[in-house]
Amino acid sequence: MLELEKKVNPLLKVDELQVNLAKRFGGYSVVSNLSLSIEQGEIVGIAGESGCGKSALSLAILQLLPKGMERSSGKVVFDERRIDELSLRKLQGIRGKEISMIFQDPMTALNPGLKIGTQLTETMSKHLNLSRREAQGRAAELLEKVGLPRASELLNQYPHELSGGMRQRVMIAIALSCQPKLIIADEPTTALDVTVQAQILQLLKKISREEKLAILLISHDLGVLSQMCDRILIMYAGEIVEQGTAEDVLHRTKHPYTRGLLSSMPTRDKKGKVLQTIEGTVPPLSERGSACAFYKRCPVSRPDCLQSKPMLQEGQGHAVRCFYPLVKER
Amino acid sequence: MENILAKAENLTKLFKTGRREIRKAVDGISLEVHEGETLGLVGESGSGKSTTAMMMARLLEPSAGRILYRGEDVSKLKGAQKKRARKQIQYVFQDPLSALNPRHKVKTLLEEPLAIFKVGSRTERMEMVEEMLAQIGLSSNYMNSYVHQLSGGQRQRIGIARALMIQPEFLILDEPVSALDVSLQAQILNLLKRLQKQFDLTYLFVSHDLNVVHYMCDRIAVMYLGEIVEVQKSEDLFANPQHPYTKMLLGSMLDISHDTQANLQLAEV
Amino acid sequence: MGRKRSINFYIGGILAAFLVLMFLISFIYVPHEINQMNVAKRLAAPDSSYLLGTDNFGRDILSRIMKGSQTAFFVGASAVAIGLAGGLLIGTAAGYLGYWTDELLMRLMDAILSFPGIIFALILVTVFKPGIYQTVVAIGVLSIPGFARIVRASVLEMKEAEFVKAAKGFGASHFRILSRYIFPNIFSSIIVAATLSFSTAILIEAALSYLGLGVQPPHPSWGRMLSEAQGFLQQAPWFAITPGLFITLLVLGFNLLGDGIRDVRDVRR
Repeated sequence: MLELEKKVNPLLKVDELQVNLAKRFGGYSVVSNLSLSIEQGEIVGIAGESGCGKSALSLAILQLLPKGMERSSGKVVFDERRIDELSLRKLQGIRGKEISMIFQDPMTALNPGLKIGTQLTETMSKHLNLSRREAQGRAAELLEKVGLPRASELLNQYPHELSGGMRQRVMIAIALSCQPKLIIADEPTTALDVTVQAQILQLLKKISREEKLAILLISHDLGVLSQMCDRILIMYAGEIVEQGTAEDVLHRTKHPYTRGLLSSMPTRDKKGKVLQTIEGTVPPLSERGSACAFYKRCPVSRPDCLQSKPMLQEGQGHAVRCFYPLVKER
Repeated sequence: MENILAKAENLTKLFKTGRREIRKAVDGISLEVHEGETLGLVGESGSGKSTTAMMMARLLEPSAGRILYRGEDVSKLKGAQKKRARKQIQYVFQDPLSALNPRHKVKTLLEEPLAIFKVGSRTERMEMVEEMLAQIGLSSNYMNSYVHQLSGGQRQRIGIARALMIQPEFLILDEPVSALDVSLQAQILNLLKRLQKQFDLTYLFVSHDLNVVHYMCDRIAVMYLGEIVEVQKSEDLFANPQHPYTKMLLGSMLDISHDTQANLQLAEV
Repeated sequence: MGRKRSINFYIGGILAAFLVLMFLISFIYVPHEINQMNVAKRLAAPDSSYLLGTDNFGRDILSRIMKGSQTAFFVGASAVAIGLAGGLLIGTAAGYLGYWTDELLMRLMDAILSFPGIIFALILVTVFKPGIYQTVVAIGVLSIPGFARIVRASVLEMKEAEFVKAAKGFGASHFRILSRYIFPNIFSSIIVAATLSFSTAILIEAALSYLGLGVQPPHPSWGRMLSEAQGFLQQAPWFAITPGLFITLLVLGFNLLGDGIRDVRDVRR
């Protein structure tokens, strides 16, 4: 496991980040006062279902929010510099160079009109000031590193000539090209076949360990996160409801929502039994009030849960946002 | 002895890709579905599982081979016999958003199959629609809603309900829960199990998710590049996979086990 | 969501409404008789009696503009009607039936398209004398291929849609599929095409009339007014500006409206 040196500041620190929908869409909160930190070389996972705000969070870090959303408050500190208030030009110096993003669908993330080689060398030329030949050499190295042989052929191909798995590897290669310190990966393997997914994740983990590369991994798949992450954050309705090491969150679960998620997974031991589901649905943005967001669906809620908002309570690195956290072991 | 409900014999499907190239999506497979069971069909992209499912549902013409239903060859039926076969075999699409007419309200969507088969009067049909809504756990308030106004889980329920309106015996489901969040997925799986008991249904369940397939299915057929490489009872398949591809598939599963981080080491390529 | 509900829709709507209003009023009232010449007041600037001035025969321009809108709308609407009818028929046949029908019909459409519109109009005019009905037919026929293309593309797209396949899977008749599944879903593309075609038709009519080959006296036409005004640009600029302005407003208005309608219908879905 990773040794956390308490003296070193975290690589990424998000402080009370608030993301709202634009006023013309109602101004509702998408991400509520969220704080998180990632250490160098750490793999942190964010889990949550649709509508929990995990994608908005990842986009907000690099100021990539779409037009309908805006960061209304909060700080983002990367490598001891505030990046939430940076000008676009300075930010562009960080994007792709110190922080890279990998998206879910490589077909839309890669430019269909440019050759793979061009897309790889583009980023490098911009950030690293390499000559064309140097960049191409590095590009070939990168492709090999991500497990794509026959680099020279590949450099001259277009995205549509590659399979989904290969495209995703190219995306990773591009993300790695300028040796970033942090990669934000939003559902990087969701669109891929199961066998390919395993390979890609294995690759990411290997690179992270070898190069002390931190990864913020966003996924709805707890199985993926359990295998990849040092720490996991569970998001619900724009907030973190539980966080801790993978072991803590998945096997010493404290929050009823996390428990609900785990119970509804059709694992092998549940064959023949009815799956325990979480009743109801995620509250729409307009209905997130000042009490516990999970109240209506919570199997162990009590009337006073409605009184006020639970805060994130920490205990030995394992935090939960609940007035009555679960105590039994899974 | 199990009663064989549906059987595929040497089923093949060829697609033309470009001027001279032909892709063999499904290559001479044979499959048996037993009455009352849930047969899983797993594979990754390019395995041919969806194509097979569509052929079994008669939505796609096989290039070769035949499909037998209760012993009768249904691959080449015409007219009234074809219609009768349609009544018994139904299909649930993967993406309800594209599989349901965006211009029709929920009540119309559910009424359509009945109207096409000329079942009962208008009033009787509406009663059946209301009953079905209750069965799938949707309030009748939704009768006048449009598909885009519903959530993903609700849409999929409608997709399933629509297939069940004319009371088929055999339901073919293509990745019915793949697009859903884990908690919604569980609701739909529970629903499917309940409906199966209630209406005495046989399922052909196509999926790429091994956990789901293990949970839902009695037997599992594994497909790879257009062929069936292995068919076994679920427990046996997981305990004792025979074919190297099956082993590879199982090895790629990422489970939440106490030994976190153990599985990824297994997935060697 | 979306108060961005389309500036296009509002501006286009207002312009179109204004012109339609003028069109409607022109049936019951115009300030002066349109062919009444007032030689004393030839080429007079706008004043209290002649709000937009007079032309070279002393005729009231405002009245002629108003009556001219009748011509514009009539030609526009009729031409669109012909184009739409023909386009729907041909486009649906080509898109739905495919294969030879498609090839044949589309080649036919290409043939018409490749014909320069003006020449076609000229030919018609040579064979039959110029006049309003000939203009309508010429423009109508010329717009058929445009509609046919759009209808065909939409039908093709819809044919592949999952919900259409689902309906086929239930054994829906071709008629049912076309009427309940395909047409309702291509409606908005057709509307947009229709408004665009309307404005194009008006433009072509103006062009033809400008050349003297379109609508003939005594029917007033903005295009012809433009050509009549040419010789008097210095003395009476309002004579030329007014018809030009109204043509522009009409075309702009309906184009924006068409865009706006498309925007509005899209957002909803």
